[in-house]
Amino acid sequence: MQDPITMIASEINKQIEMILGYIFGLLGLPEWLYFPAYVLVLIIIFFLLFTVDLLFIVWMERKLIGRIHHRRSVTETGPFGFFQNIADVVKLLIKEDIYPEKADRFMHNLVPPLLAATALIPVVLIPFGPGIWFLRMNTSVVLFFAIATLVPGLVLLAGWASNSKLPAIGAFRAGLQLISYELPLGLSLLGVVLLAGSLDFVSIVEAQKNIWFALVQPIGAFVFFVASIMELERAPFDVPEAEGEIIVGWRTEYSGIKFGLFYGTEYFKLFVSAAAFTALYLGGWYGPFFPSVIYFVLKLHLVIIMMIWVRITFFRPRPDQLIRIAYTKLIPLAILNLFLVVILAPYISYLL
Amino acid sequence: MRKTDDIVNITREKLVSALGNDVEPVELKWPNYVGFRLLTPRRITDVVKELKKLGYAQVTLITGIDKPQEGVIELVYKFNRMDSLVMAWIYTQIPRDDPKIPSITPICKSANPHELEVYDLMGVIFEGHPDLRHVFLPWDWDLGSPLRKDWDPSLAKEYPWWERTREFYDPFVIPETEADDIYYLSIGPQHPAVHGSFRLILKLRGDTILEAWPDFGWVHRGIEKLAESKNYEQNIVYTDRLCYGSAITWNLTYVLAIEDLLGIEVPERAQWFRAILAEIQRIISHLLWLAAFSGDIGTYHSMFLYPLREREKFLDLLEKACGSRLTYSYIRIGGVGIFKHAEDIPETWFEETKETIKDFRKRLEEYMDITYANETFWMRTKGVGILKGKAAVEAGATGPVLRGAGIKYDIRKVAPYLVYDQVDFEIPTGKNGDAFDRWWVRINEMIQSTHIIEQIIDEMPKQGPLRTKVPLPKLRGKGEGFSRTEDPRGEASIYVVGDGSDKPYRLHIRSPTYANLSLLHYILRHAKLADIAVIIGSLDPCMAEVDR
Repeated sequence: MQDPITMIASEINKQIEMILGYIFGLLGLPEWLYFPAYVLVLIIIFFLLFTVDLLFIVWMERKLIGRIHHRRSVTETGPFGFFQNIADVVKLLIKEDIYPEKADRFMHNLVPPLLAATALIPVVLIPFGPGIWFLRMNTSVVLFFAIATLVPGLVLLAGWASNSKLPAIGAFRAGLQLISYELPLGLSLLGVVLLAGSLDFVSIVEAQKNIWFALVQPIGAFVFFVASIMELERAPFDVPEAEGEIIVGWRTEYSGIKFGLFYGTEYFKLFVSAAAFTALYLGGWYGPFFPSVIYFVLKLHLVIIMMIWVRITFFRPRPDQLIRIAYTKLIPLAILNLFLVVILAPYISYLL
Repeated sequence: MRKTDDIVNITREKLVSALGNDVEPVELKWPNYVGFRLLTPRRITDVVKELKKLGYAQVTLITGIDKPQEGVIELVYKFNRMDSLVMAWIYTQIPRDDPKIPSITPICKSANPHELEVYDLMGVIFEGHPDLRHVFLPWDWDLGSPLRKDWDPSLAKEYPWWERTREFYDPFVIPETEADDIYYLSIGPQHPAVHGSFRLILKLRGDTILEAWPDFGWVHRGIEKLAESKNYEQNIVYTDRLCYGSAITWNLTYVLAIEDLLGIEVPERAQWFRAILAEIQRIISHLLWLAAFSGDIGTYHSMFLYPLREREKFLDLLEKACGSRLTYSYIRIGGVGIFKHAEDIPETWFEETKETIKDFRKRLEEYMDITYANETFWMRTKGVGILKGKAAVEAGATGPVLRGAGIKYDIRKVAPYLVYDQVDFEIPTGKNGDAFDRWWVRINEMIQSTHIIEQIIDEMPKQGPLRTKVPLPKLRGKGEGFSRTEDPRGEASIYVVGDGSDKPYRLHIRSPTYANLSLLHYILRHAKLADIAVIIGSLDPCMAEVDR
C-alpha cells in the first residue's frame, strides 16, 4: 500500500519544479540559480508548516496543563484560544528592549538569535518520512550532537553578557547541567548505533522496520528520554532558570524580542529532541499498513505530550542532586544498557 | 506538669531574693502571670539570667509605652515558658531624653527582633546589642521615633525617599579586604522566593551561604500608630490587613485583647462558633502555604494549584458566614458578626462545612501521592534548614516551626482560649526540625483542625445569642488587655493599654512571622543558595504581618 502523504509530497514537488522552470524560462534566469531557488521554496514551505506546528505545540501545552490544573487555560483569542500565542509573540515584538547598565551590548544582542539558530539547525538532519529530509549524510547523528554541544557555550555567554549576578549563577548552572547530561545521552545512543550499524538517521530508522529500538533496549530509551529533558532545561530539571531561587536564571536580563527568541529556542529544542527520540527509538515513520510521515508526526507529538506531563508533575531537584542523578544513576544505567546490547546482539538482530 | 500557682510563687520568691530591692512584685490582672517592676533598668540582664534559670525560655514581646507627662518610656518585657501558661512580665521605666538600657540579646537570642523593633519605632537604645539598626525605617533615618506621642507625622515628608532608591546596599558596604571568592547577593525586595517584600542579603562562597541578614520594612504601614487614632471598634478593620492569609485569627486575637481590657462577657455559643471560624481559617492559611511552598520546591504546576482549589471551597464557607472572601472583620467585640445577622447562621451551613471537610480529607490523600510518595520532594526538604529542639526555643521560634523542631508547644493546649480545653486534638511534632518536618506538622495540623471543627459542630449549643450588645459609648477602658492565640504561623499576641478614652493608648502586636523570619540569620548559615526558597517557604512568611 502506498502512503498518500508521500504521493502528495512528490506531486507537490513536481508542481514546484514545473512552476519554477516556467518562471525561470519566462525571466531568462541563469541555470545555476535554479537549485538555490528550489531549496528556498522548500525551506519556506517547511517553515510555514513548522511554525504552525510550533504554535500548535505551545497551545497544546497550555491546554493540557490547564486541564491537569482543573482550569480552562486560554479561551478568548481565536477558536479555543489558539491565537493567544500569536498575540503573545506580537506583544513580545513591541515590548521595550532593556539593557542592564553594564552589560556587554554586542554579546547581549548577538546571543539570542545565535542560540535560536543553533537550536534550530539540527532539524535539517532529521528524516521526517520516507524520502522527506533535507540532508542525509553517513555521520548525521554525530553532527546532530556536535551542534547540540554548542548550546552550553552560548548559554554561558548569554549569562555572562548580562553582567549581573543571578544570570551568571544561572549560566554556570546551565553549563554544569548541559555538560553532565551529555555523557548519559551519548552512552545510551551507542546502543542504537551498534544495533543499526550506522551513524545515519535514515539508516537507523530503516533498521527499525520490524521492531522499535525502544522495545529492544528500554533502559537506553529511558536514559535518553530523561537526559533529553535535562538538555531541554525544562521542569523538573529547570535548575538553570529555577524561578523561586534565581528568578529565570540566565534569561533574567533579556526582555522583548530577545526573551521571545529564548522562549522560541525552548520549543525548537523540544521539537528537535522529541524528533530525535522518535527517529532513534520509536521507529520513525514506520507504522501499520504503510510507512508514512503521519506516523512520525504522531509519535513526535506523543513524545512531546509525555515531556509536558513530566513537567507538570515532579518537583525540581537541587543542582548538586541533579548532577548526582546524572553521574550515579543515568551513566551506570546507560553502560548497563550498552552491555546488554553487546551481549544480546545476536538474538536482537534476529528480531530486526 | 507543675501547678501554675507553684510556678508563680517560686518565680516571685527567687527573683526577689536574687535581686533584692531592685525589683518589687506587681499584682497583675491575670493570676497566671507574674509581674515585677524593675527599679534599676541597668540590672535587666541579671533579671533575664535569673528567669532563664527558672525556665522562662523565650521573650515573647518587648513593648515600649511612651509617657510624655511623666517623662519616661515604660518597657514591658514578656517572657513565656514552654511547659506552662505562666508568663513573667518585667516593667521598667527609662528616661525619655536619654533612653538607654542594656541589651539582653547577647544572653537571650529571641529578644533580638523585639529589641530592634523598639529601637526603631520608640528610639530606645539597647547598649551592647550586636547589630542595632533600623529594621522598618530607612537605614539612615534620623527624623525621630514614630511611635512616640509627640512625633509629628509630617516629618516623614522631609526624608529624601527618592534619592535613597539607588543606595540599597549602603548599610552593607562590601569590605575591600574580603577574599576574592566571596560575593554578596541581594535577594529581594522583589523576588519570587520572598513571598512579599523583604530582602535578604547573602554573603556567599560559591554556592554556600556564609552569612545572611534579613531586611524588613519595605511596605511598613504603621498600623500600631494608626490604631491610636481610631476607636476600639474601628481598629478591627486594621487587624484584617495584618495578614491576608488568616484575617479571622487576627480579628480574634485583637478582639480577645479588647474584651480582656474592657471586661466584656461573650455568649457561650459565640465562643464555639469563633473556634470553628479560626480552625477553618487555619486550614485556609495552611493550604495557601502549601501551594506557595510547592512552588518554592519547583513545581508551579500541579501542587501549586490543587491546594488553592481546595482553599477556594473553604473561602466559600467563610464567605457564606461573613460576607467577604479575605478581609472579614467578622469577629467583633462581644461576639460574632453584626447584631442583625448574629443569629442567622443556618443549619445548612454546618452540614456544608462537614461535607467540605469530608471532601478535603480525600484531597489530602491526593496531595500525599504527589508529595510524600515522591523521592524528589524528600531530597529537597529532608535535612534542609535545620533548626532543632533547644536552639529553636532559644532563637524565638513559635508555631509550626517550633513544633517541627520537636517541641510540643501550642497555645491552644498550653494556655487554652475559646473552647479549646473542651475539644480533643493532638499536637503534631517533628523530629529533625527541617523543612520536611515543618511540612509534616502543617499537614497534620490541617487534619487535626478538621477533627476540631467536626467536634465543635457536634457539641456546640444549637440555640443562643452570638453577640452581647455593647453600646459604643461603653467601649472605653483603662488598664491593660492582653491576649495570645495560636495563629497559623505561630504565637500571636496583642497587648493593649487603655487610658480611659475610646481609643487605645498603645496597641502592640506580636507578629509570629517577624520572629520566625529573624531566624533566617541562623538557619541560612552554611545552607546552599538553591535551598533558600525552600527554607524561606518552610517558615511560612506573611510580609503584611511583619510590616504591620
